[in-house]
Amino acid sequence: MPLPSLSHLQFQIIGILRGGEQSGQYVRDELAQQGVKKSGPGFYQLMARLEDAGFVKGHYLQKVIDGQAVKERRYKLTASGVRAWEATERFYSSQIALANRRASLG
Amino acid sequence: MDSEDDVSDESLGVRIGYDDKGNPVVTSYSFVVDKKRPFIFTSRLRGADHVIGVFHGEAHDSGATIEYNVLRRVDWDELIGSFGLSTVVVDEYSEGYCVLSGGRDEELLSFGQAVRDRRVIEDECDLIDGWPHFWSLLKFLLGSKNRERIFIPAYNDLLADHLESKLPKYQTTWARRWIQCCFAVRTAGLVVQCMAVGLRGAIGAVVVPVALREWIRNWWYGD
Repeated sequence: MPLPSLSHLQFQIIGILRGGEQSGQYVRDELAQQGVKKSGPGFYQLMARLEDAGFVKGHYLQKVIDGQAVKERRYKLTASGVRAWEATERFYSSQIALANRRASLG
Repeated sequence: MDSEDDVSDESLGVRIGYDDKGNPVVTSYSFVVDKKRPFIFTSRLRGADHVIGVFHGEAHDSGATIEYNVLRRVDWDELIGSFGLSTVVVDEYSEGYCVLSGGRDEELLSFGQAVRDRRVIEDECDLIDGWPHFWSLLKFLLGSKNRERIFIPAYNDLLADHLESKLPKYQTTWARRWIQCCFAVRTAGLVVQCMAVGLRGAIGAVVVPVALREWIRNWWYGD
């Protein structure tokens, strides 16, 4: 089985986005809850790489808060992102099954 | 009518009409802009606000039409939004608002102005409008790629947090000044973080050996 095309962090992020379109802030908060703390710039660089790879698609949603314009970056999963996530999931599942088999033999 | 082309027109005014199917579309522009007071030009569609442009200017009521004269535009190109509008609102930020069109009426609907203490308005404009804009200028320390990909989304998250923090409470002058100071420090920190992320990406990929890169990464994140 080929190695997955997603890193563990990318796998986590795409897993969060499988629930539907989300804001960058939401994804970052979810990651933090899972114990992955990234600075804002670090996080958005990661997201930009996911966008470059075609796994997610980002756009800005314009909001007005207290009379001031704010752009919220939102992300949604692409079809290739879903495929990559499923391939990675299959890889990890097969590795777990393999490891369990070895453990039961040994 | 291709409304998006019209939105990018420099004339900066708007009037709403309706197409054959009854969908609201922009039919003409009717204001020019000047002066100091900042206001925000927003559209409202199905209850959601879409910001079309942020201007610094002041409204002048000259009979049937209202003219806006503007000294400068702020992030016009970045803020052009979708233009399927049902209502267009010109919001003068601190001082009042002007509804140019709403419902099926192409005419000017109303102009409202909230009277407030000038000292408070000036104080707010200096502190609240000026500072976020001033600090957003720090983004030009970064290269265009890092600015677009890293700084702008992170800065907007910071700005949203900042604006939400001063909404309900903390209305005293000193509390709001303190919040502004915090915002300034955090924005400066954000620029430094962006530089670090950009540098790490550039140098790390080419020069620094893998082991050292890992060590720096661990040191940086405190792992």
